[in-house]
Amino acid sequence: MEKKSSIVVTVHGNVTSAQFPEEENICIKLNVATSEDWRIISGDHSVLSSFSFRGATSHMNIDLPFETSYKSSTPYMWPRYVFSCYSKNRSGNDCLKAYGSLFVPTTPGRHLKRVYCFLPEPSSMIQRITARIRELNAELVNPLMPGFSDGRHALRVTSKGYLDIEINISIKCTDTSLQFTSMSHNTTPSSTSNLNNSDGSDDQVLENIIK
Amino acid sequence: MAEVFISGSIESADGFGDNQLSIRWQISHGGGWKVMNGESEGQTQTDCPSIFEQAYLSHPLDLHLSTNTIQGWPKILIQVWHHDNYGRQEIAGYGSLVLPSSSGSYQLKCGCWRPKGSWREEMMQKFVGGGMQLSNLSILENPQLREKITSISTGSVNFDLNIITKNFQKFGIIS
Repeated sequence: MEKKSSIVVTVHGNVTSAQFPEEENICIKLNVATSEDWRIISGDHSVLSSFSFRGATSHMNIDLPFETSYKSSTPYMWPRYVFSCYSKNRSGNDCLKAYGSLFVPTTPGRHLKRVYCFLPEPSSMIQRITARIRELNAELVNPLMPGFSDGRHALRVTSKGYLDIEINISIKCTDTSLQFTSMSHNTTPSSTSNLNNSDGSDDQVLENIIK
Repeated sequence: MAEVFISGSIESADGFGDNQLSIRWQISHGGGWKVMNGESEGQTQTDCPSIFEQAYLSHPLDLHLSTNTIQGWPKILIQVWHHDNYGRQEIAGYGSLVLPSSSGSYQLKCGCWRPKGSWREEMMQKFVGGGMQLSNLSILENPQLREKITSISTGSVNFDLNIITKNFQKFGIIS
């Protein structure tokens, strides 16, 4: 006989910058993707950034702060964010350039994450040429699909770029039997300095800092 | 019953030649464990790297397991399949990843290997493709069988995983 427990996760984040070597400009749409028990108790379901053009440095600074609070009774299907990246082409229309997904970390504290975004590959050469001429790429029917594992085995994709995201997590949990970080707090700061930047941008060392 | 929640993603893979890969994964655990929610196996999307060198998969994993024993902590067994430009698939590697037994966020790396054949078979694999495969995965699940084969190392797969444990303190387990 367990009393109903709840977990409230509050996320404060910022999509700081992006790097899409084939694009001149990019706009990020951030969607909250939840399933099962999780509900959003504050914050918008989707946030759209400005169209950021590449400046004098080779980075595109997106600068999109976001804040969401989720509530659930079980940690299963921890929420995630799905990103859709658009760019404005010469005729002024938006076309989809990439999808990405980010798992919200389950440990409280500040995290720096790099999300690599992909685009579904055209299935034949004709489709590839048509997409190039019409400046229209094939889109997924369900834009939240990159956040979940259903049907992904049928997808053939290529990575188009990455987003750097700063994310701060606070967790309030009334169920004391749940443990989010190890008791010895011995988790070493993990550095993802093995990220391969073939486009020559500066190497960034990302660390997990646990409060 | 103690419970373990595993969430996170299969992030990327590198070192497999041109890195056009998809990864089939499955969970392997001891007898006292039971999968309550989530799929215990799956396959990621196929990434064909054009800009970056590594294959970036970002495949989400969500699992909820319950257990009455600490033995047989789950492992993830992976098969890395390489897709070539003609649409064929061949094994690029096998690997097993032991999941951390304490809660927290982890960046894990799983090194992969494939079975090594004779000089002739290796030459065929280099020119024609389609190398040796394991006929069943019991070698991955049961480490006692490993001494029977020769293997050659291929690339590695990166995971970004979070582990949440429940009721471990109630049973007096410090982890």
